[in-house]
Amino acid sequence: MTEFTGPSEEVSKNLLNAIAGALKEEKKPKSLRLGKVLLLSTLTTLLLSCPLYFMFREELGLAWKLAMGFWWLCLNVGFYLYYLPQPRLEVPGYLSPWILAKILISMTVLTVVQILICPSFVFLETPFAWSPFESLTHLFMSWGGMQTCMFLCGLLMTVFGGVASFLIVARTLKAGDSKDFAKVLGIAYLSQAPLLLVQVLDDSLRQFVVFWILGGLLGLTVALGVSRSFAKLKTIFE
Amino acid sequence: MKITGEESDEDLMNAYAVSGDSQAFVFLYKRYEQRLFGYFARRLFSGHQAQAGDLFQRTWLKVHESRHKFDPALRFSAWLFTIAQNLLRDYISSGHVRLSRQLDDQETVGIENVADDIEAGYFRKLEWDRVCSALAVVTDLQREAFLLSVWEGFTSKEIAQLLNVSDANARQLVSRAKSALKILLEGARS
Repeated sequence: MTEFTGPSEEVSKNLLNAIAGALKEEKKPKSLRLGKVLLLSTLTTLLLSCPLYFMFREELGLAWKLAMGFWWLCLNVGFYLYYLPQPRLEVPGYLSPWILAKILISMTVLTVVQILICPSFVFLETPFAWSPFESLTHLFMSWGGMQTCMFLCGLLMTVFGGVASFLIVARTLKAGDSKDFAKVLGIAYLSQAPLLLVQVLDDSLRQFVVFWILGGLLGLTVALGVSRSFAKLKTIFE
Repeated sequence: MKITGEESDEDLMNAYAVSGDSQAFVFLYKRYEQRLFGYFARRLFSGHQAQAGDLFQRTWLKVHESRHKFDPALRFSAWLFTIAQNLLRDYISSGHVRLSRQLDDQETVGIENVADDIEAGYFRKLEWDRVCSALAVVTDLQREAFLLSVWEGFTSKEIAQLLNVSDANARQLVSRAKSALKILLEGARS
């Protein structure tokens, strides 16, 4: 006969600390929190847009400047959700604003980093003599023209960033329903919205935007599946 | 007001929800820690005990999120277990796992905990493995009412709230489950 026991000491300790922390945060002034959100999102946008600006300053038109403004808004939303008073716990199926914030912030940062590494995916010319991804976009074009290229570029842009972002919160994403996953995909896709804006404002790319959107959605879905499978496998081996 | 831990559940909940008193939450947590964990552990297969821990945590997190919606006219225990029940139902309906119909040997400890109850005395007269098989035969609602009554120690009023049935219906469900079990077990013995 096995003796019935309650939750582990660690579970109880983490839960009590998380709730005590949330109650403490609620008592702090809201203005302090909003100030922190504004400062962090502005600093992060500056950190991300400076290398982007210096690398591609000749190609960055109004659309790109608007895109940077949109990323600043994304980061504001992300940091706002992150600093909302709440229990900060990673529990499978518990999709808190803190978890959504982690996805949005990491996805935004990774999207900009990806542009720096593989600018050809967003139709920017690399200032360097050689870029490994340039040949990849040429290959996509040779397979099926602009439609295929847009679809695959959208897919690759989101799949890498998506896998990395979702892995950060993989324990939470291990469980959940279709509504939760729709929220996750939606918040992750928000970081891609500035790229869509750039394409919509570009006369030559506008007609192909739908392919980018479809590729991006498929990429995020694949990324979510990969991260969830990884989390489940990890549980089995633990 | 200083919380001493001798307050009723509802007073503790009020201090936690209205004044954000973390000590009140600690007292509530300690009171229901074992009982709530047991609720999930008993209803899931033994291979899903980690999920019982996850559902246990999610219940408390949901309590925290919904604390301002708590109706002081209701009993805290009924409210807490309604949240637990909803989470368990969602978890089961998501297809992750089936409810445990075949209880394992750890359940017998629950029986010892209610040694003074008539039900406990009733069970002790019967062979445990036959009880387990018989529980798998009664309807889902009867089994749930029976477990809530015998294991979690809920009154018929609380069971009625949890299962969304009338008080009389709750009593009838428990009684029918007991009768069905008795017939099944006596039949198996003869």
